[in-house]
Amino acid sequence: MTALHDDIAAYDQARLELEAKHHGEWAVFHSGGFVGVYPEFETAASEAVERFGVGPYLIRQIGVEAIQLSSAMVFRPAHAHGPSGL
Amino acid sequence: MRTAQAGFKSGKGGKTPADLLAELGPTFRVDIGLKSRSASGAQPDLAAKGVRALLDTGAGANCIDDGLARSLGLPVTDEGEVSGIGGKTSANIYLARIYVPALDRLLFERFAGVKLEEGEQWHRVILGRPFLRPYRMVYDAPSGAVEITEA
Repeated sequence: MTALHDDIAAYDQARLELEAKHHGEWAVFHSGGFVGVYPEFETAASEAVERFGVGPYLIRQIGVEAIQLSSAMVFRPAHAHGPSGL
Repeated sequence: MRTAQAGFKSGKGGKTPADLLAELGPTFRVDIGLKSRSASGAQPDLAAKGVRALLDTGAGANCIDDGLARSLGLPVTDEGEVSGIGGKTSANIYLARIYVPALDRLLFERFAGVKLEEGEQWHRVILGRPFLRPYRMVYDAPSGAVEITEA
């Protein structure tokens, strides 16, 4: 999973700029580098699969760290824990 | 406007449709993979077919059995944390194509990898609120019927 961690680290480095310019959009990172920003998840996923196949690669919604509360199940993105995401 | 049934039309083993709905929950059969092997415009041909998927309004994320995700070679696209009545656990976030024949809907979704098979769950996929967001859902427990309609 080192490659994905490289992507997460690259996202964290670019996070402030991405949040300022592309809040709510979807970012793709691969091999520790920025690939692009897409308005819809479907577009980001299509691009990632087309270019990088089975990955790994990071697809993350920019600036969205909401905790989805539920009595039955809660999903909390790892990056909601802190700046490193780890 | 497309409508699909996710309940139970008939009983089984002495159980009524209402019994089965109460026991198993609203269920779709879905196909899952990464790339469709069919030609563009044809019905999608994904690697895993007829996978039982629970429609779960209590789930804040879509989930997939981690073993199934690995066997399908789905890409890991992030990390996350899943918590519920059993506590918290870290999870891989997989990317998958999912085809829902009942809705004729093909889309990419993110799935948290969880241990459904190990937990002896009947379903291998949970479609939570992210999936359900565009739909109206009518849960008719006495009849065992559940109707999903595009809003």
